[in-house]
Amino acid sequence: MIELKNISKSLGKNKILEDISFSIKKADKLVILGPSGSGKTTILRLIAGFEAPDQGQILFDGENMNQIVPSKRGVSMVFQDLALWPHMSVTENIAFCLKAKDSKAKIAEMLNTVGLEHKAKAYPQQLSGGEKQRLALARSLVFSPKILLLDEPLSSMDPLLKDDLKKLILDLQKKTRITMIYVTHDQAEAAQIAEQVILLHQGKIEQKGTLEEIRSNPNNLFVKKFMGVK
Amino acid sequence: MSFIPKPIIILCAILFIIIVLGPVLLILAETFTSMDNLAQVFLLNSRQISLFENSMLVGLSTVCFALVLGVGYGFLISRTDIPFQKFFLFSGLIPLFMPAHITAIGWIKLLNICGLAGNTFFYSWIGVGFVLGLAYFPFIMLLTLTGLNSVDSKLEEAAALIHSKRHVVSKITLPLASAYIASGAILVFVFSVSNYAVPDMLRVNTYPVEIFVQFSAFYDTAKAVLLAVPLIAVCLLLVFVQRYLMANKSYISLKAQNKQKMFFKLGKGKTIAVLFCVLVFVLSVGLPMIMLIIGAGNLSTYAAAFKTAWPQIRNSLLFSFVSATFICLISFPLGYALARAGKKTRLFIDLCSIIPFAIPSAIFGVAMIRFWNRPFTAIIYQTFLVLVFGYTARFSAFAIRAISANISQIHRNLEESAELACQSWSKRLRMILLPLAWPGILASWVLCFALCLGELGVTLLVIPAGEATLPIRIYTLMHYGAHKLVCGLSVILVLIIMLPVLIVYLLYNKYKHKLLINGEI
Repeated sequence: MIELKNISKSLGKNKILEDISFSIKKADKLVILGPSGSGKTTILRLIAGFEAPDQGQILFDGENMNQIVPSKRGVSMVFQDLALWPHMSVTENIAFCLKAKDSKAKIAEMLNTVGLEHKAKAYPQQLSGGEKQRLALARSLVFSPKILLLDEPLSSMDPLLKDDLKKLILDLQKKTRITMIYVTHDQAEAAQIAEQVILLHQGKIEQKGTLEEIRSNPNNLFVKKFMGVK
Repeated sequence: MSFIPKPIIILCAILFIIIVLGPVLLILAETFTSMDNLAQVFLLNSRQISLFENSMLVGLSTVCFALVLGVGYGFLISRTDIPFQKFFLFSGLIPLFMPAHITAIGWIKLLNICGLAGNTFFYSWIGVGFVLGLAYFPFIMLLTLTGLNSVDSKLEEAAALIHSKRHVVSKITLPLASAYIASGAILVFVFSVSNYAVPDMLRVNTYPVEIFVQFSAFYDTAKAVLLAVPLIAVCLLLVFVQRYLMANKSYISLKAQNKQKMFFKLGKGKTIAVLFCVLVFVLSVGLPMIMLIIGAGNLSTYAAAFKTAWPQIRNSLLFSFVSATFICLISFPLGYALARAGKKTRLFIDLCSIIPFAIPSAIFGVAMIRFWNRPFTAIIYQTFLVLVFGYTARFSAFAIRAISANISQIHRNLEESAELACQSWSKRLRMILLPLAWPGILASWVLCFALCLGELGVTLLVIPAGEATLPIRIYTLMHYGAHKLVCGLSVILVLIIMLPVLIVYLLYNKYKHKLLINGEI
């Protein structure tokens, strides 16, 4: 279980996050929804360990992670810009995440899962947008992390490709039973990814629950406006 | 900061402080412990005024020449349809690698051939400014190029809907690139007033020349340092202004014309533009080199030069290779920290690494002697290690900034994704950071290698007995009047410097499509 307890984060005088608390059970999915600049990515960066909270605790199965370095958290992340290593081929991008002894079989399996067997030797710049997404996903899952963080991974995709990739993400999550936190500003996307949603605005949680609950019972004017409730 | 462990960065910072800042801080402390000395700084005698006047005139004239050449050249390459752009970009960079005193020797030779030996017009601050302007204009050209490339094309396009292109350039483009151009002008000013060899050859008494005389003739360290105080103060002030101007900006962009930017069709002006670039190349490289080749005479001179100066050639290559490698080894972690560390660490490294820009080479030389000439550091002072440290003191700031600029261009997400996937910092360093940062490291290594090969100011003062380098040999032979040999050795020195530069340029062109950042270092 992942638990965030009273997390606050500032950058200089700007409060990025204020008193954020939520939890997510093992193998569950959660969507963090909110407009640009609401602090969604910062939450992911705190969970991954790239930034430390000013206040509060991040707990994985009850263990405080605040002092644990990113590489020892068992977290993986698909970045908004995918962050594929441009000097490495598809295979090398995946292999980097593995120990040498068991890498060959795992790479082949993962390439097969995401449908990139035919592009094993290609470099990221030789891939299409969808293929890059698949590679980013494969790279994030190949070393069997406990938690998968996705930072608006489909934001620059066309609708047709989006649907394909959404399906792939959900299939992989189901298959691997990985705990998944998905960040987006798109309600429709949120609805397709997970039931449980956190709505964030100006660094504060405005409402938690299912999308249906939020739509039918908006807490305040912002939620009402953001969800398009008349 | 997860790619290079903190202890390694701290170790490099300590080495940098000991090698680069330690000697300078020591002589400043020694000099200013005496109140009499302190009082002398503020005594304005006629000699001080004349030194200050000469140095400022040299600095200003150099900046004027370099601005005309550098801004014009940079603009032509970046924003016009001038032919042979790649060639002109490369030829415009060559003077950067050619020691200024070699350019001076070439021009002196030309004057001698024309029967103008000792011409008072050339043997003055104007001549020094002219030669140094030719040697240093690439700094302004590079920063102009970077500045022009950094201008947001939308801003120009918005203005172009209302005004002519010419108007847009003068009112939008150049003002937006002005911080870069001003920064280049400051660097050129600081380098020119700190230069020892060219004013010495052209008999203009500037601060570095006087410091050298005070130290080598009278061995008076305090007086030498006191003399330099106004110069150091002006240079420090300027490098801080330069730092302010260039805050968060990239230093070098090796892109030639950027098709997405607004650019000019030269039309009939194409010939004039080409002639301008050719003229700059001829004045800065072609003519001095031709004079040196003519001066050297037939091939037997080169054979004799090789025979007599082989130990110095070997020393130069060895010392420069070791120094450039050592500089890059300590500059890489510091450059990484400058790009990636927290605000306070970045500020500390930033401030420490700009100070060397403001210290004249002669003062570095004096400081090295005072610092390392002790019984327990004999292993350093009496061997070529003192030169390695001297070169590190002078040039590591260049490497730190070039590497840092390169690392800043690498998206953090590339490092962060590796950090999540792999626990071993050495594997992350080896497989992610080094392959992504190699253009910056290689460029820094070549730049430092070239600068070390041509270095004269520090070398003259600290060179251990029997370890002379090629520039020292050339400088000594000049004073003995062995003109043929001087010319031959100067040609050899330039060729030795240019060889690795050419190799790296060709490698860069061959593999640039594989680079993460096209042309940014």
